[in-house]
Amino acid sequence: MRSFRYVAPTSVAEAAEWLAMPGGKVVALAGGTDLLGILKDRVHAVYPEVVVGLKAITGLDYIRKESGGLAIGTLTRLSTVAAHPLIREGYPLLAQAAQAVGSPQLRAMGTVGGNLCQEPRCWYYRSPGNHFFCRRKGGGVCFALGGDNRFGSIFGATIGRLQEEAGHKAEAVVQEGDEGHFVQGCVAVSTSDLATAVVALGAWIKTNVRLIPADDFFVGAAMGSTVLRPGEVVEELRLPPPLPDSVQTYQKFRIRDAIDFAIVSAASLLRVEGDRVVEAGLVLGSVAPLPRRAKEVEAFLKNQPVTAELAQEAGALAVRDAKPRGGSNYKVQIAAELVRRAVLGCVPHKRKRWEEVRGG
Amino acid sequence: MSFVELEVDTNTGRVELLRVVNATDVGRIIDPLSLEGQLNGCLGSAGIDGALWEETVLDSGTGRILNSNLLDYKWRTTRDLPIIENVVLETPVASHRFGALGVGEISTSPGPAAVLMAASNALGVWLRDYPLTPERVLGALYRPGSTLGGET
Repeated sequence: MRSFRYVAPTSVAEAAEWLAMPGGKVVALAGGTDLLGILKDRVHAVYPEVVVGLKAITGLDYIRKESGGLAIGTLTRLSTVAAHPLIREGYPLLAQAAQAVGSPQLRAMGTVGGNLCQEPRCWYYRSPGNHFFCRRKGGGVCFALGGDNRFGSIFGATIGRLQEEAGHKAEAVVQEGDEGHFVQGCVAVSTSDLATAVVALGAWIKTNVRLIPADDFFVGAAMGSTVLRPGEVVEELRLPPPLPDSVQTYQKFRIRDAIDFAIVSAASLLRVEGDRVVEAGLVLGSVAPLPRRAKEVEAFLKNQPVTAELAQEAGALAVRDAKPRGGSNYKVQIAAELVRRAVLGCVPHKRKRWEEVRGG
Repeated sequence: MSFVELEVDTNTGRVELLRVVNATDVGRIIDPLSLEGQLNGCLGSAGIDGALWEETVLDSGTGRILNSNLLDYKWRTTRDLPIIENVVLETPVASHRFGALGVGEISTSPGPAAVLMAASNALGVWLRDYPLTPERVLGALYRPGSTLGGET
């Protein structure tokens, strides 16, 4: 790890001033679970001169009721979110997503804001010593496009050339189904568990300058995952009033249950009256550069009776526009299956207990 | 030898180890705890996880290792362990010191073959490549001409 200057501002305004420094020379540190690894591995071409620790800012670690919904401070630990009664009762989807992050140690250190703003996972992007100066870092090519992209996007790549463009969603949205942008873009996926959940919940993210709907917070820009501008700090996650009687699930398909990033995740929120779906929210994670709301599936499910056929069709519809890249072909089938299970309200895979195995 | 019981989710390609039984003749037991550790260690890199998870991923263009960390290189933690049982026989070998035989390599070697055969048996399709990732399982199931794909 190279040396850097560590500053610990005591107010958001002061932190914002530091973070307005241009040119990737400054980074924000909350829990630090991801950032310190990135710094130690010298992942980026530009090494930050200043690390702005947010931990000294008081009053950013809270969970409280607000205007019918819930407000969660950016420095709230993921373990707190996963265990909090108000969240477990009103927003089980969020509690499950927080519980699905990393390991107990990482959840005890990792924060809400940090998880939402995390950098993408791609083994080319994160190669130690910046060995692959890829498109995401401002280089010319996405190495995963022609290399091993088994964990890559199945819904297009990002466009947008400069970090400045990240603030303008219109220019930096993911181009789905356009083969041309696959050639230019980056296929790293958004793996944040919380991101997938908060988009499904229709939450907002409050920064020191504005209130952004979660749907608009994440972008598929070439060099950024969020619309945050220099000097902008996430202060709070705001949840809408809870939806009683909704079935909420967060499914995370991964290789290793104990600690792993998702290969595909699915956040779903279904409200059924009688046997018909009256409200459906469905967002897929780790399949695109940003959490992907399956709008067509949400519309398709409305007013339909829940049947096995409906679930199967919903799964197929969710991946209808998928454009996998060779190695990521299998993710299409997994995504469809998670959607099918979400509609059926299936319990995510559980490990068998000793007695069940012995008995069988 | 190793016996492996597993489940394969044909919709996602996930392979779940349920139970592993190792059986071996160790000649004579010297340290029971170390012996058990060695037998359970068959889940280490050369054994069962070589069959399911562990893989060194090389970038074909540069030859660089892409997963040289313990997150992307999948090793098993205690939470993901199956049930392991060991059956130990003792037939002291006169030609060996203390009548004991080595056990480390013996316990790891049958792992990958046992896992792949168990999965092949479950699916009715020969699986010859490891690690047996969801990608490979689904690839085998949805191979052109396969009758298994599409079933739920």
